[in-house]
Amino acid sequence: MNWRRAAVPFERERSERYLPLVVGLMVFLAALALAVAFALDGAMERWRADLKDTVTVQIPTGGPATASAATGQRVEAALALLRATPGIERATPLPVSEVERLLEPWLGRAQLGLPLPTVIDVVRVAGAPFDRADLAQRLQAAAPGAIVEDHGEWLTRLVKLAAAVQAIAMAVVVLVGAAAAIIVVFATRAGLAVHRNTIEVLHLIGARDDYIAKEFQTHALWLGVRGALYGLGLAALALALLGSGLADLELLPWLTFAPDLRALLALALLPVATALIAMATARVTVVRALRRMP
Amino acid sequence: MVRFENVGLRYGSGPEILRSIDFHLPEGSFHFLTGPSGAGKSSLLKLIYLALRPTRGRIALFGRDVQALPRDELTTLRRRIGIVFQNFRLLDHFTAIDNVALPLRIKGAKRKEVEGHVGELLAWVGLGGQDEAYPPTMSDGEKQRVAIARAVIGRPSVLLADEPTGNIDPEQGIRILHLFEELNKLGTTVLIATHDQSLVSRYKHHPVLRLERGELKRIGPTRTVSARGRARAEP
Repeated sequence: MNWRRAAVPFERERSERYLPLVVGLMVFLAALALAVAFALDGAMERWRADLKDTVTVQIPTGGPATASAATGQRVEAALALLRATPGIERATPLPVSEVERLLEPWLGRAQLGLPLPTVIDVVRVAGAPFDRADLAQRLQAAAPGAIVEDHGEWLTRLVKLAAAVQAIAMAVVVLVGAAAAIIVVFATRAGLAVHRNTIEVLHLIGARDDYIAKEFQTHALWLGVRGALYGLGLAALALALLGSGLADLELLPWLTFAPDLRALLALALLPVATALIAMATARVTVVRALRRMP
Repeated sequence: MVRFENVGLRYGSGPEILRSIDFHLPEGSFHFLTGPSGAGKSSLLKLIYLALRPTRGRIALFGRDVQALPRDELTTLRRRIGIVFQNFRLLDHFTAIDNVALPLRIKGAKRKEVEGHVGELLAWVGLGGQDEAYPPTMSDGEKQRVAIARAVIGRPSVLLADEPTGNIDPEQGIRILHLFEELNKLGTTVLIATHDQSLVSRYKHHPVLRLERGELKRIGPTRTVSARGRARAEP
């Protein structure tokens, strides 16, 4: 006597084969979207921490012949003004080698002969008032040609863009979940049609709707778990490749796909959520169909 | 036990296939339901086992008006009815013993509680030793007996059988009728739908309900076995 065998013979169904694959693809896409959302979240945190209270001042080279001497004077004047300005904690010129290192990924080693501007890294006192226009005006007077770059403005725009991309990524996760639910609805309806005779027998010999629904929801749960694990495995592989590719390129040092604890938890919950969506969807579909029986 | 009052049935917007059906099956009675093919025997049985709802009239089962009952209560009533379907309707992926145990399993019984009982019942219908056989490997007579065992495992108050001898040889038919009589002696109300007149003639001591073109033409004298096992007659 086999008490474990399901009364509905699901093993004879096509959904047994294709549903985990489709669910797997859905979970793969959702996992990628989640990873992008979390990567951007981490990047935004880092941008905020690194750039919130910093300003960059650029002193372009003055001209080919006297460039070096003139630029040196303007840099000294700018440094003196910056250090004397209230609300500025520190002003440090970046060594040429550091500027070259920053430009190397974009221009390659060939940039080494180019006239590079002197870059002064300015750190503001946290929370102190800052008037960019006033500083720019005074710097123009002390060191003609000086350019003030306030990272706050740039950061605000970048964070807005990142937040929008993040929202789209989360919307993708939700849409993928909805698409998975719709697929489960159709698969369950197909299952109800295929097993109509068995369901009718169970119903007529006294099975409650809950008993029949449990057969379908348990089946959907395991198909969902199987599919979700396929998808998550594939996503882990893709993210590992992407992460290692980005690290090799060193193009986007602020974007990393090394998941933190929150991201790992979210990714681990993905199969659970998928399985629960599949189970709940199958149950609702079956109960609705059974209610049409006398 | 089972009471029909002015019951009519039609499928969709088609003609009435059962018209003004009135009858009463007292507790412990044994009836045949006869009539030519297409007369509406199976539809009448479906009304009793609650696979269909009448389009008019009143059906009462176990003293309760079925039209007035909520859906969940109908399941409770179904559990008191054993059905032997015309084409057995066994689950092919279940063994004989699992098929027989199914009504108990869906009620939530534990495997160990029912194992012995199910085995005994299979032996009673003459299928001892075939517990693990699957329906596709069994003869029609064997399937029929598995279906009967499944119908009676829950000790139903009413047993309905739709053409139970239709797919088997006469000798096996007689053995199956004998099983039904034994159940009836234990107090189960039995109604057997058949178009086999020779079978009805052989068991002429049981009253007959005859359906013709959707109407109940003749109701024979009714003899019932009361709960105490004493026979009584109803007009």
